[in-house]
Amino acid sequence: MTLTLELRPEEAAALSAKATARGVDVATLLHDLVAHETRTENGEGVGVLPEGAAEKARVAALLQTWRRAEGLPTLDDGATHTPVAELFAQWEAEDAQLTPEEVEAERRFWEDYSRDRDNRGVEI
Amino acid sequence: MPGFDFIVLDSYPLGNAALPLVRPSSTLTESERCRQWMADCEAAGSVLLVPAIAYYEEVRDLYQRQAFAKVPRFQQFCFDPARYIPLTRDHLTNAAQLWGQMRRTGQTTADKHALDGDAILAAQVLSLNLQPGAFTVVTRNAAHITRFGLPAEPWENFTP
Repeated sequence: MTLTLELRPEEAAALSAKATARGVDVATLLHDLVAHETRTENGEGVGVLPEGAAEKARVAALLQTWRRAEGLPTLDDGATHTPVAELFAQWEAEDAQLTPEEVEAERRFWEDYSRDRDNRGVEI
Repeated sequence: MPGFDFIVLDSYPLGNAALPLVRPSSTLTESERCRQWMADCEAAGSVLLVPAIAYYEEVRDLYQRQAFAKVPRFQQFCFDPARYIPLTRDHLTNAAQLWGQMRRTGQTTADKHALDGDAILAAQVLSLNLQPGAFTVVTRNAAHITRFGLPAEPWENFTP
């Protein structure tokens, strides 16, 4: 459902300030308000996320806000999250096409890389 | 140790993300086990987070080695929209404040002229306002991170 609501300037400013203070965008803040106001006596409500999930949603929204500021694609405008396992499976399928010589070159590169990193120890 | 909702990756273990599994051997190296650990953590429900400064610390080594072909995979892992913590102006300002505070109190781990990426990483993590107990920073240099009041430990310390 799409709602159109005309806010007074002071309401809009207060809402925006509240969202900024919580590190979320205004839409996320409004969804939280709906969740809070529709909660029943035993704490259940429409759109109420478990605590961990709500926190993950807050952080994800914050990351998107910063991405937007950086001009990076966001989850809201088409960028997609690829789980690590899926990414690794995709790479392994690609690597299965390597020749034995390429496999050996990869092995040498990463052995050397890891050894250097171990010797380096502390980063900047 | 219980799983965390959020796991922040320092440059190590992050650098293992682009490691290919092309070894014919069935015995995994530490780096390969660490790579698998990252996948297992996410599969178990943890959100992996990549601070921009940790990305920088690792990708520069690939450039230094002229391993240009390996950069896109590393970027694909790091820049995922649910994983990457972009570096903002506030992060830099807050990192500078943390750095100044550490220097004043004699808690230094880097040369005065070094960038001290740990302060930037700490500022990026602190800006997320994560709940204590819900996250940890996975690193080889836990002492460098805990001085900023953040939890930190090596990846081997817990199973997903």
